[in-house]
Amino acid sequence: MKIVKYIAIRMILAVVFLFAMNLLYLYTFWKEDVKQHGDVLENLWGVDIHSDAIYFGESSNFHTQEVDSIKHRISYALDSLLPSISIATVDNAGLHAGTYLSLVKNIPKEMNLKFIVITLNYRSFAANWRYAPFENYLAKSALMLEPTLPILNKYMISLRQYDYKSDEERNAQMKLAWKNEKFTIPNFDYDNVIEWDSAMAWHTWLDVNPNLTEENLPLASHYIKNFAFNIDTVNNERIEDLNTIVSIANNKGYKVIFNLLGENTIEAKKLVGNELFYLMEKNRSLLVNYFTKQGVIIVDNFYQIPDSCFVDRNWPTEHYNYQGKKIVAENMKTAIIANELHN
Amino acid sequence: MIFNSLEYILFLPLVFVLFYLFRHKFRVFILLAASYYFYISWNPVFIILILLSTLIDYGAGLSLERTSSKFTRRLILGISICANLGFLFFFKYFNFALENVNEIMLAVKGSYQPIEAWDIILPIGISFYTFQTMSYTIDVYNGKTKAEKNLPYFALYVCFFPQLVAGPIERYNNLMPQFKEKAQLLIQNISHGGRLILYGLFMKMVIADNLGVFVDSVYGDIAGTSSLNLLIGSVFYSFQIYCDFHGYTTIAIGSAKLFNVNLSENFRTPYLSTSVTDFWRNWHITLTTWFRDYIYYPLGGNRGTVLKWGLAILTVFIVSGVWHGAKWTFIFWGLFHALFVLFEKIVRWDKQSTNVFLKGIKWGVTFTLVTALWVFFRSPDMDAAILYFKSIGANWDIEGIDLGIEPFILLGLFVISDILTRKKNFALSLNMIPSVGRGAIYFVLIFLLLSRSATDMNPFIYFQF
Repeated sequence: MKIVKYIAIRMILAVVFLFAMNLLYLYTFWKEDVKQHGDVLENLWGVDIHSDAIYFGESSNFHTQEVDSIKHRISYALDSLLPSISIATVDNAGLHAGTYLSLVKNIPKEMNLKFIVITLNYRSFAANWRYAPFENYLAKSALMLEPTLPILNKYMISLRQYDYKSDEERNAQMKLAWKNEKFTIPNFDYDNVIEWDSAMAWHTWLDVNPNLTEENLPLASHYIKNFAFNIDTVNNERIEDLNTIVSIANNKGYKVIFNLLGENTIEAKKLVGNELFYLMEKNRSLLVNYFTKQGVIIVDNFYQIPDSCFVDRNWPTEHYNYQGKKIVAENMKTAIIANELHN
Repeated sequence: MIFNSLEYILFLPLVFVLFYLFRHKFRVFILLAASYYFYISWNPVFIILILLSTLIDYGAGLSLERTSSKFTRRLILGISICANLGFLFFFKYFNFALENVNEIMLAVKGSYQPIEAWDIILPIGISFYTFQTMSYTIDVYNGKTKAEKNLPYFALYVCFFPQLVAGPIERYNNLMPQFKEKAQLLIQNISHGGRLILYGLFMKMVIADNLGVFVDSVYGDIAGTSSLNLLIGSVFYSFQIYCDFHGYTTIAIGSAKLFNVNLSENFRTPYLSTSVTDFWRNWHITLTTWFRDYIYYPLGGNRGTVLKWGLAILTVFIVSGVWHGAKWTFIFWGLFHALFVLFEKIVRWDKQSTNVFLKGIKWGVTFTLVTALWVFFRSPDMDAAILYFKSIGANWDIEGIDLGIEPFILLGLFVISDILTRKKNFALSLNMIPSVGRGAIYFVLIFLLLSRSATDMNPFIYFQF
């Protein structure tokens, strides 16, 4: 009995200590730690709480082309196109549904939002984004943003209670997914990335496909690695995160807009062939149908960006020049007006 | 599972509760199961090695007691030592030996196809539990202890989880009576153990790991680092390795205390030593005494000729270097320590003095020497160690410091606490402070632990040995 009393008193004291320490932490080291381990949250701090909407984006939102005379973000362009509402921006490189979910959980309670925009990047469903080494940082950020006591979040980071993996482990995961995550394409010999990619690299595709050269062969390989998959709505963690975002938004009473980014389907077809395009279209259609059924407004830019608007030419990205960004903003505007969210 | 992990934070209380829920005769099995689980969580395969080592030394102990034939006893001891050292050699030194054979053959023959290194994973804690079991068999052989007849108890002696992977290296006579004594659930033990675990975590996660970030960056680019940063890096490493290992040991002692087991102290403020000889009396004490009892004394100790004594010292320190790892840097680290110990004996440096100024000088020289020798210990190879020493005088660019004040404040805090607890350990020292003061100390330590622990969780340095 004496021991139970001894332990109980100390447990109560520990809880009191913990809250006091948390308070001290918030006033001392917290902001600096957030800058270091979860800087994406800083953007959320900067949001005007009177905003009507928040645009969550990754590098597609802010990436610019040197020759662009206007270097506005997509979200800024959208904000200008809809003068009746104010749209705040939260963006950072490499973000995906998992990080958006952490951010959505941290939207200030006092905000009276009409809608949020979530950037839906097709490639973020692929193995090489899901298992990228950058995931360590994003997972750490997500933990830093967990709605518990910040001092505990910090300690959990020190105890590595997030999805930490070494670069070797991430690469191994990626290769395993490329091998094991099968896709089906009618009348096609290959059903996984590894086989398809090696077949392209080692066989005589250079002779067969006139668009393929020694120089652009690596780019073609990147297209396969980034776009060749079947989205599994049951097991893909991105889908689960997006489902949770939708559910949180429904509970909080604001609409969700998924901004499905445009991909360079022309180049994909040119370098790899119709088989890859078949998969891309299948996944696009799946995403649109799946989330439309949940009441999400999908702004489908998938085929809307002309080849000339894509900035990067050595890696498949969603980095557009200003013209491309404007197309996305215009499509968003149309959808917002059509759904009467602009008043 | 490592001490600074959430798994251990959950594992330890669970084992504690189970231990005291059961009657004394079942507790050995609780601790044994917990210890095996603790080890299996690293790598399940290597549990076979521990089991083999346990059975070999258990059998050797019983056999030694049953025979009086000198030859047979020597044979049994030889088999036991060969088996233990054989495991150690294969897993720890085989590739090192192969590498050196390749180099010698290349030098002798000119054209030689080197034998490729084997893909061998070092089982964690092998150097520690091997030495622990060897000490038991040697003690039985020497008649210093009786052979253990109860296999579960003996198995627990080999694998008791708080000290399994990095010591303290315990003697059978210290540990076994404590295992067999019925443990009472005492508030003092919980309090004592809890305090030590807290202080150990503070040393490891707040001090060692934070200093390690800077040390890693210095050793990652020795040539491009300024002289001042190299100096700071070497001092930081002295404290990193101390806080890392002392932190581990303190958590181990604290964890064992919860089960009413007192493990041996491994450190007594070694950086306050005024000679290298004194440093070794206070640093990794259980290993040093192991070498003293099982190598230095059998080689004659300080009896006999000066040459014999000198050879004994050289042997002990070189073996100590080799024990730490299969690299020339460790061997040179041990060799230099031996040379300094010999030099101190010759010039009678160790002679006690009441002169504070002289003591200060001796302390400064000792700390500098020990810190300098850690450069060998930390460097990946001899070239890096030599480059480190060369670079220290090369670039006195003050602009190169990008460190902030925080590591210095944390280090200062630790140094003060280390000095204050030099006579009694942290848990006992707290008893002398009123409860309000104790509360304040807990508050500061827990706050620093939660908020200032380094974010890149590192395994304990001594786990690699």
